[in-house]
Amino acid sequence: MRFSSAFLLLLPCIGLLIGLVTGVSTLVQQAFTGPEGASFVNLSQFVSRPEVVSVFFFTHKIALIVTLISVLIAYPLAVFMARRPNLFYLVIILIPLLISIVVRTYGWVVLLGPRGLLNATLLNLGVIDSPLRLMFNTGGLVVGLVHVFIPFAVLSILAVYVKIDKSLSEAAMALGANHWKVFGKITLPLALPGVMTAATIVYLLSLGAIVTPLLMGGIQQTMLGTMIYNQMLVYYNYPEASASALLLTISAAIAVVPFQLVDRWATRKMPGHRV
Amino acid sequence: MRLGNMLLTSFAFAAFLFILAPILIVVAASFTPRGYLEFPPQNLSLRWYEEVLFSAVWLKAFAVSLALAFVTAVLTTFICFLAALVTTRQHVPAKGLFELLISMPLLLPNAALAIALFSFVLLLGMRGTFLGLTLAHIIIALPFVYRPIVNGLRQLDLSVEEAAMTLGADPATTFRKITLPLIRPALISAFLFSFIISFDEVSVTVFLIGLDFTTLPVKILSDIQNSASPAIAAVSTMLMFVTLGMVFVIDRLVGLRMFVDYRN
Repeated sequence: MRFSSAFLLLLPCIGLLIGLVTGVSTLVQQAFTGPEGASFVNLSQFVSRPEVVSVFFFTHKIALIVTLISVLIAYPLAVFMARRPNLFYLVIILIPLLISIVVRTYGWVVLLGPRGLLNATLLNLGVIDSPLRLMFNTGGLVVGLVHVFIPFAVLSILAVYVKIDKSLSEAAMALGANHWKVFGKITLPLALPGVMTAATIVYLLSLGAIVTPLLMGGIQQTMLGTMIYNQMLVYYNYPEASASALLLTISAAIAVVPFQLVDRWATRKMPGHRV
Repeated sequence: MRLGNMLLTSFAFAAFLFILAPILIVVAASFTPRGYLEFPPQNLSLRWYEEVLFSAVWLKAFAVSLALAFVTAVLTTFICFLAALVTTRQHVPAKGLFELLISMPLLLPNAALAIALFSFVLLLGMRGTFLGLTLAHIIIALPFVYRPIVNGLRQLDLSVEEAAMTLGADPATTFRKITLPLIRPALISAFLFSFIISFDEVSVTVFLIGLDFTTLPVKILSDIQNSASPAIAAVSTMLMFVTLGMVFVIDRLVGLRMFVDYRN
């Protein structure tokens, strides 16, 4: 009696989850649907068509670059914020997270676009004669993606960094270690799980990005997200889009394994960790 | 180590500037009187705000977004509250699987989640309808809402409820007078978060809109691709202020520090 009434409260949630699972399995089914029934035709193009293969590798290359840059910027920023707990700094990190990705990317279009503020200013000052190509290239795409995902990286690292016992660094310093040694032997190893969480999140988010590559990448900078967008909304090719989405998901799951392994290794080496 | 500290501080401020620059630029650009963006603006004007506020298309998209975010927030908070009540207080078989499925929208790459939700909504025959979009938005918001409510319920001291029952309160009264007031902060922040998530969502929504039915972020997206009108900057600024208003309310009600636990 108690169990059945409790189960009723779970029903709306379970209903939605069944919907999601149905959606995912339809996606898989569509991916294996050719013009004449079940086939591998949609998936095989990821081997046979060079332009599709290059989109796949380009997406992972961009995700890797964006992850590296994001972590390299986020780590010192998290250290700074941990040393000076200030609500104002936290708000600066949180605000972009809560503003629509369209608005944030539009800011870069206004800034870097062919008729954007930077080009207009440089033209007015006579520094350049014709607009520079600051967007619609790989550089612009990376800048846009790093900007969108950096708050996630900062928050993941900060959450772990503030929990590190300060007396460990102080003890090392008292025993004669310099700042680099403290960083290499104490703070970085202890913060590594946070860094790996940051890397996993940024890598996954970059792989699936649609809006930023759509607005800031050029024809040459097609990512899997934009390819799926085009297959679905421009060419109305549902099976092909599903195949791309399936491959995106599988490759994402494989790509984050190294981050998770480093995370586990770092946690195991921690003092006080019981196996 | 004074030099190291100075380097770190200047690096941090440069990074903050990088983070804020495109957002501030949009606000500044929205006040330009010209038909194109200029810097620095010669003088300020509200021309583009006027144009947006008198445009039926923008107003309709704005209304759709507001209604969608409100309905999504109410339903997601309610559904997750019911589910969290059960999972925190009763033995639920396959609870691990249940919670894994709830976090699935977070784990799937965005473009794949979009196709999955598109498939689901298409199966229901609800593509391009308000209801279809609402269902998709609720699923996207689930992981962001379920977690905080579960944490709120776990921190709740069950002995207070037991005391009320011992003193003769029936379960309904106990729930209304004890449980609900104690869990209210978690519910309010969950509501506001799902509101913001739905109000800002674009990468899944763009697959689900109809011919004469769109949301504000999706309309902004398609306008950026088609024109360079400063009206987009004005709309973006307005969108931003709705979100910032929500953030202000969250800070007032529960405090922004919940994002990072500074206490060691």
